[in-house]
Amino acid sequence: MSVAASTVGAATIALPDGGGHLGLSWAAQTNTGLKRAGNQDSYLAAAPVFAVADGMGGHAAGDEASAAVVARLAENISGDFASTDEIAQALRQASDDIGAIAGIHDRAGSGTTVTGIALTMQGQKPYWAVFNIGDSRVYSLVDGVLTQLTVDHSAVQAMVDSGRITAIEAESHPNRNIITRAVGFGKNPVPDLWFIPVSQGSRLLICSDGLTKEVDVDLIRLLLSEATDADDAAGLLLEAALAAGGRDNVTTLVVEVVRSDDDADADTTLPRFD
Amino acid sequence: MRVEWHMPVTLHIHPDVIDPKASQLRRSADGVVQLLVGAEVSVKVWLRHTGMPVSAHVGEVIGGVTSMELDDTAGIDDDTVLHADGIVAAGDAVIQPLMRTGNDVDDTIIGQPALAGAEIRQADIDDQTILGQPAAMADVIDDPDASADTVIGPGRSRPESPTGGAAPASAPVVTGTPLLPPALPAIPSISASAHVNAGVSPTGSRRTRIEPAGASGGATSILAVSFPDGRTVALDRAVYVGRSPKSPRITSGLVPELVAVPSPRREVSSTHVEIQQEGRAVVVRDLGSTNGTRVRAPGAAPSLLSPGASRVVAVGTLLDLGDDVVLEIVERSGASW
Repeated sequence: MSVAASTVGAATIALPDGGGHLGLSWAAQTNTGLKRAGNQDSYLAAAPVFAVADGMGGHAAGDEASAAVVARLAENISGDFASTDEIAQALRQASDDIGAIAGIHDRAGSGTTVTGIALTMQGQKPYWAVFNIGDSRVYSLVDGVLTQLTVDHSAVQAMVDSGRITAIEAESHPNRNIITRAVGFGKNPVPDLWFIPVSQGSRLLICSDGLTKEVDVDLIRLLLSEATDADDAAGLLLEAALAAGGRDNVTTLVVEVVRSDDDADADTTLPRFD
Repeated sequence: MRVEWHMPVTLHIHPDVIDPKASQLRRSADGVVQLLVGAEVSVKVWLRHTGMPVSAHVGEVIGGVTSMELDDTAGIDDDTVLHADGIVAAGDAVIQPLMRTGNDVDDTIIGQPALAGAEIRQADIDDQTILGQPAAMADVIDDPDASADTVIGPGRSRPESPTGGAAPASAPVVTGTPLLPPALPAIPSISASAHVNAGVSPTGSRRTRIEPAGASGGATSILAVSFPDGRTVALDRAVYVGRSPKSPRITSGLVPELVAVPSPRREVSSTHVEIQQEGRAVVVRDLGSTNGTRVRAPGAAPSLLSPGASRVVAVGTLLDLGDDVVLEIVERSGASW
């Protein structure tokens, strides 16, 4: 992955059995940031899979680790819809690749986060399979509400979950940079999964921690909702991360569902009176 | 703050509209170096072969720049010098890295458990990443070599039996609250006595154990759920039902069944109920729905399963979600839809 790169794209996907169409548009940007010597983030932005990987490890090893995982995702997933088996297989292969990379560089500590979304069919309906290993994140913006879909595999997340610190305290905790799961390091890469309905007008943000450690969720929500389109959103978010200090590599990938003929009913549930 | 280049660059100065005190360097498509500056930042540049700095302003394109000074009151100490080595303004897109001296770097750390605490401060200066395994998280690591307590993997054997105890006290948090209380015999006919806490939301950080039904209790038959439209969905995995159901976090890799049901009057919540087979029992959990779930066991009066509550139910039990969506727990007949 080059130090600064960007991608834009769009696709219209036919749903099976005459279920209409899905229209997606997306944009991704990555930047080394203002302090790091190189960019160890990689991304994949090509329907039906969108992913961001944040490599870890000295020198080229982290770069190659993140590149390996997006390359394996691209290689294993073809067609209009993905399956979780394909994601799992890609991650296993990437883990093997990273083991080989670590050997070349004579470094044990090489690995990468990976998080993303893949378009799947579940029970005759289109769903995003959201997958995550590490502390890169996926957010959704639906009807103006920003939701963090993934849960970090991080030391501070564990402390938040166990009630020892609050989410606010986590942001400034000295251990906030420790992650507890990664692809590589000889670990079996089993991602956490979530299945989220595909709803028209929603925007999904996939990003490395170079964004979320610099820009608070209020500004993320503002920029993601006010942007004119996915490309505008990815650019605004990246610039906000750089403006806030750009201390780490930063990658922003935004996917917008511009059309969904099988739209999920997101309206409020009403009381039952019978 | 001062930025220096070894090779002269062409600088194109842009406004930064987000932060009046910010400044950043970036690549430009036409091979120049872009400088974005906020309204409160003043810029002086040094040109090749000249000793005196020149003030630079937004909108200008200046060639032959060898260094620049940013007077940003934002608090970057004035002594800081950025060596913009490697910035190439000739179109090969390399404008970074910038190496800042005299400032910390906020690294992600990936480290060994014992090292994690000690390595944090070190990482402020070392550009290294460490996979951490703090004590509290040790059980969560998905290590195939770890003990049977590892939380992931549908094929593993669970320490608890269907008639036996709950998860051990030392079980990792990810396994969540055991769905079956310790004293509960796995016989559906006494199901009314089983009622476990489940004050949870359908999404977010809720921990749910999802396993094949057979994993916990030997040779048990797989039950199913029938839907008003005639579909029958096997309970060999967790089933989520609602107008437009989401799954919770899945750590096992086992994909649940998400079944959308129509609700023209919107009485059914988007993710209304979770149905899982646990051994020979079926556990129904209302996922904090707006209207709750009406449960009618065979031969019993209907009762309301409050939003967020769980109950063990028998074959033949009807689950009324509202809007004429009535599900039934049935013996499995043939394949799922």
